[in-house]
Amino acid sequence: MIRLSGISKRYNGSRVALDAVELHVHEGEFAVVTGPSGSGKTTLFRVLIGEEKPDSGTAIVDGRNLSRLDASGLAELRHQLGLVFEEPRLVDRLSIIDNVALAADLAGATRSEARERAAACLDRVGMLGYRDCRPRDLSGGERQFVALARALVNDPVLILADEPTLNLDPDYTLEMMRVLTECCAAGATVFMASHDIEALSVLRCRVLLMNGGRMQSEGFGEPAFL
Amino acid sequence: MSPGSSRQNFSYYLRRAADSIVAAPVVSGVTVSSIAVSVLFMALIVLMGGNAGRMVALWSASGMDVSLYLELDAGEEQVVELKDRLAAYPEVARVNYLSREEAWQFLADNLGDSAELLSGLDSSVLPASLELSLALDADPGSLPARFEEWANLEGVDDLQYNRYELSRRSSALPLVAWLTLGLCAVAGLASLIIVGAGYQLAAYSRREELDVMRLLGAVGNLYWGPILLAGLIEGTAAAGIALGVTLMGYGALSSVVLRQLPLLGEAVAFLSPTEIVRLLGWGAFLGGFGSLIGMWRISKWR
Ligand SMILES: Nc1ncnc2c1ncn2[C@@H]1O[C@H](COP(=O)(O)OP(=O)(O)O)[C@@H](O)[C@H]1O
Ligand SMILES: [Mg+2]
Repeated sequence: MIRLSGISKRYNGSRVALDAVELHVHEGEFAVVTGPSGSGKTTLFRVLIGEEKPDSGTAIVDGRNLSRLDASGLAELRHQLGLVFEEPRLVDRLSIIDNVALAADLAGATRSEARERAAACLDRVGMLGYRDCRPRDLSGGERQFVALARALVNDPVLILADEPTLNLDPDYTLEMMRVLTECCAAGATVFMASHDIEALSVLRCRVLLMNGGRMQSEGFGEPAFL
Repeated sequence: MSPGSSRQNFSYYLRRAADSIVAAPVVSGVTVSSIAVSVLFMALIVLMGGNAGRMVALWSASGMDVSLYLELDAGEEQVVELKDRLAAYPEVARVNYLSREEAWQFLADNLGDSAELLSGLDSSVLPASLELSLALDADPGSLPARFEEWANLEGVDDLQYNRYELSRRSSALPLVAWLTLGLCAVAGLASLIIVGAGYQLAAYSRREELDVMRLLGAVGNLYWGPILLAGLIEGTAAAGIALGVTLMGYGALSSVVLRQLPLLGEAVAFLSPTEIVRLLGWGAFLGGFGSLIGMWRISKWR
C-alpha cells in the first residue's frame, strides 16, 4: 500500500528532515512511526499525501508513483485516502455534517448521498448529536472526532494520520485508537505518526522509530488493545 | 472517476459560491463595494461622454440640415416612397417635404423688401425638396458616403449640405469619443488594481479553507469553479447596484438641467441598453478576474 525507497528531503538551508527513508506498509496493516519531535514524522506524512516533493527517492502510494501524478491525479488519490492532521482543520462556516459531507462532495458524491454517508460516519465516532452545530461550538477533542469522521466518509483504502491524538485527553485518545483499529479490521490500511505514549501503549502493531530523519529500528508495540 | 470533470452538477458550484460569499460578509462587502465604485466611475464617464457628444452635435445640428432637391418631373408617389426610404436611415432624424410653392414662399419671405425681384418669375423655377434633419449621434465620418448615396437615389436631382459644419462636427465628435475612451482606460486600470487588492484580502481570509479543500482532493473546476462563480455573481451584483445609483443620480440631475435648459432635451439621455450590458459585463469581469487572480496568488494548486 505504501512503498518508499531512498526518500530524502532537506528544507531550504536547514538540516536534513528525511534521510534516505525506506518504508513498506502492506495492505491491511496498521503501522505507526514514532520518534522525538523534529525527527521528520510530519515531513514523512506530507510526502505521503503529496504535499511535499522529496528531493530524491520514489514514493508509491496505493499503486501510484507520487512524482508522476499531476494535480488531478493527486486529487483523485486523495479522494481514496482518509487524512487526519494534528489540528482538526474544519471549515468554520460549515456545519458539522457539512464539514464531513464536503469530503464526499469533492469526491463526486451527490448532495444527499454525501450527507447520508456523513451522518453514518458521525454516528460511528459518536458525534451525530452535533450534526447541526458549528465547529466553534465544540471542544478541541470533539472537533478532532469530526475530523476523523471526515477521514472515513469516502471509505478510504488508506488512512494516514499525523499526531491525531496530540490535543486529546486519555479517554478520547483511547476511543480514537479504537475507531482506527476497527477500520483496520474492516480492511483499511492505517499509517499513523505519533509520539503519544498513551496512544502507542494501547496498540498492538508494527512500530517504526525515527530519529534525525532516519528510520532507526522496527519493533512491535505492547499488546494491550483488543 | 476524474476529478474536476462534469460529474458535479451546477448546484455544487452555486452552493459553494454562495457559501463563500456569505461566509465572510465583511470581506465580500469590501470586494463588492470596490467593484461597485469602479463600475460607478465607468458609468459616469460613459454617461457624460455620451451626453457631451450629443450636445456638441446639437450645437452644430441646425447647420447640419441636408437639402435633397427633387427632379422636376418627380411624381407624388415617387416622393412619398423616397421620403419613407430616407426616414428609415439611422442617420436621419426627420424628413420634411418642401413643395415648389413653399420653396417660393420661403424665398420670398427671406428676401423681405427685395421680394419684387421675383415678380417676373414663375414659381415653378424652384424645385421641390426633401429637407433632412440628421440624428445627433450620426457618425460624421460616414456621412459623406451617405450623402453620395442619397444624391444618386432615383428622383433626386441634387444634394446640398454645409461642408464647413460637417468638418467641424467631424473634428469635435471624435475628440469627445477619444477623451471618453481615455478616461475609461485610466479608470479601468485603476479598478483592476483596486479590485485585485480587495480580492487578495478575500483570498487571505479564506486560505485555510481552500487549503482544506485542496487536501480533500478539490482540483480543477471543483476548486476554481466556485471561486470564479462567486466573483462573477459579486461583480454582476455590484455593477447592478452601481447602475442603479447612476440611474437615480441621472434622474435627479437631468430633471433639474432640463427645467433650466429645455433646449437640451434632445441631447440628454441615459446610458443605452448596449452600454448598460457592457457595464454589467465589466462588473462581472472585474469580479471573476479579480477573484481568480486573488486566489491564484495564494494557491498551491498552480
Ligand atoms: N516548513 C519547514 N521549513 C523548514 N524546516 C522545516 C519545515 N518543516 C519541518 N522542518 C524541519 O524539519 C525537521 C523535521 O520536522 P518534522 O517533520 O515536523 O518532525 P516531527 O513531525 O517528527 O516533529 C525539523 O528539524 C524541522 O525543524
Ligand atoms: Mg510533527
